[in-house]
Amino acid sequence: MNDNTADWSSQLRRGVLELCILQVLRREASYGYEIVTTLGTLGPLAAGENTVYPLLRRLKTDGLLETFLRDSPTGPPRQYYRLSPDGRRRLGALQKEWEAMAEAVDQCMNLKKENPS
Amino acid sequence: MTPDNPVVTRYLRNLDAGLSGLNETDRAEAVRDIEHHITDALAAGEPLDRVLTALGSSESLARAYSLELLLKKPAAFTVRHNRTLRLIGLVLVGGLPTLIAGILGLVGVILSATGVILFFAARAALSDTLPAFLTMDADPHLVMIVGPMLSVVGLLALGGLWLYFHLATKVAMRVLPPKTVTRT
Repeated sequence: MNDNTADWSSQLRRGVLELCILQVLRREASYGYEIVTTLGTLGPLAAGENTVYPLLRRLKTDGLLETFLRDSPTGPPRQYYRLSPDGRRRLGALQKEWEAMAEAVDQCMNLKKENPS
Repeated sequence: MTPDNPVVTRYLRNLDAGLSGLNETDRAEAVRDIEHHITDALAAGEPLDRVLTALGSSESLARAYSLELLLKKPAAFTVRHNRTLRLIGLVLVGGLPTLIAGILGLVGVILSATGVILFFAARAALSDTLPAFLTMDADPHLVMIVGPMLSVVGLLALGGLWLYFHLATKVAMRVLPPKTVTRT
């Protein structure tokens, strides 16, 4: 992957990562390390700690996530994140947006294939 | 079980210092997130140097936080839109202040004047100098007391109106940011 591709890919990931974080927290609350390792398994979507933690914080200040402390077996109480009602609405909106976008990109790719000459 | 390690302590202290531009809650919770991350990663068996390498230097992590939290929207755009939106809001809710000011002013002027007129009319009635086209059904003594009381209520309403204008001006000044800011 050359520099331009990497740049494009990282821009793309930045936008989608918000959707993925909200999606990870859809069913249950989670804490930083767990969120980071979950997102780390997602191949091209894998984002580093220095992207995920600041983004978590921004989603919190935007009112989409809430934090609370819960006891941990390995150490001090962990800081957990969960969706706020606003976050849940936002997730729904982003999902719709993503599906429409993916469909449009798909159509766009097929246009190319249909006009090879 | 926060690792009592000088390297970790220094990393967290540097991160905290680098986040001085954020508000207190964001700053404290960000440092707590990273501290817990290190604890959890070590508990999961990751070596410390790899954990810290993955986090990046405390300076670059602090910069990533600042970029995400402080520069997420172009300021000029937000301020200009805020100003327009707030102005519209002010005009919309302006109907209520107009009503309040109108009622206070009307009540104030009418009651004050009525009180004075009643007082002098009652005094005239007592001394039998009331003009022939006027008659007073109520006891003039009572009217002489009620008149000034009405005036007092009227003056209170006018005082309320003054106080209201004072407050409204203050609020309006605060709600509308100075126009020069939009140029930044």
